[in-house]
Amino acid sequence: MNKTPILAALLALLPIASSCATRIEVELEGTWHGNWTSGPAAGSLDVTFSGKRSFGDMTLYNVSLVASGPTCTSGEDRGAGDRTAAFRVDDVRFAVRMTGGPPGASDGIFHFDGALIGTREIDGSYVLTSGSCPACTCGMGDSGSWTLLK
Amino acid sequence: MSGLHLRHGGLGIVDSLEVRDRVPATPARRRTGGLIFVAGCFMVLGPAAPALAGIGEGNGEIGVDYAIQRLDSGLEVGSGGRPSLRAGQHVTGSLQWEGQVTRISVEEEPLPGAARKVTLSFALANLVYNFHPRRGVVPYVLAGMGLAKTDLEAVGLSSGDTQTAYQIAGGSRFFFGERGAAALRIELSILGNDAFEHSYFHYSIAAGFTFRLGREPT
Repeated sequence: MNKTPILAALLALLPIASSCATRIEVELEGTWHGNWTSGPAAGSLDVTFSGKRSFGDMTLYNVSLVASGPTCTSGEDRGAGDRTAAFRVDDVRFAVRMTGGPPGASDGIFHFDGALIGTREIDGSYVLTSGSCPACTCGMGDSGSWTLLK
Repeated sequence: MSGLHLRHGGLGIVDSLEVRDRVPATPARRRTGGLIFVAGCFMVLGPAAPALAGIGEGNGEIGVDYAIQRLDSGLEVGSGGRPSLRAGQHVTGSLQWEGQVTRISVEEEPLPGAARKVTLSFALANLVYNFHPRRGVVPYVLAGMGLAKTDLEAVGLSSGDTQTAYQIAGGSRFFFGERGAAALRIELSILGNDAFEHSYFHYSIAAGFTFRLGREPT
């Protein structure tokens, strides 16, 4: 049996296999658009990652969030965090403090836990970790799920 | 002109104190000049002299100290405290090997539950060169190498790496009494470690106590 064609085919496949093994560099920086759902409620979600910093094999970002929904009286809820977004391999975590609540009210802090799917989609869940969110008007509730696309 | 002056002439020979201002030197002036000469000799020859005090050749040493350490800016957490345990042996009056283990953990929490935490654990072997300028004071410089374990946490994600560690430092031991076996140890150091394909450098100042293990040096 002539093995030359088989060897030639294997050699030709080597660069393809090598490129598949190389991890594609994913950049979160920029604004991602998507939506959130919490039970029957749903709305849109814009998240901006900025101020990229290396932290070991992770990357930290500043994060700002704008959420809207059918129950928003003021149109949208806003939150932000300074170096409170972390990205490693395909895990994305970020936390934001919601702004705009009544004076003296406690902070509303949400934690978002997501996974990168491909290079342009993040899916995950969120939890309100501060017990209450006086600033929130869009009905995101205590927990829910989210999707962002770039 | 006060102090030293040049004798008139082409060669410019420096006068001694004895002929300064053409006034014969008093005995007190002679003693002062002698003391300055002896102090100068000690300053020059002190570092090369054999052990006069402190630990002594063949003796062991053990100590603890606490450093205020500024972590590399790439680690995003500022400063923290770092306790150390050291033990070693003086191979000669000047040369010493020393093992050191030390750990620092610094955390910043910009939002509740979104903490960044850095934990560095070092195990180092140091080569120390001791000087003996005078009894009871033992300055030193050291260089060390070893391993460092780097653990990072950010917003619930965690990561770790273990790679090479290195250190350069300088300091001094101040013994309590000329025959004392215990000393205050002050040290400035730069600790370095490799992790995640980066090199990190941390500056620190440390103070602690160190103890001689063995007979009193002669």
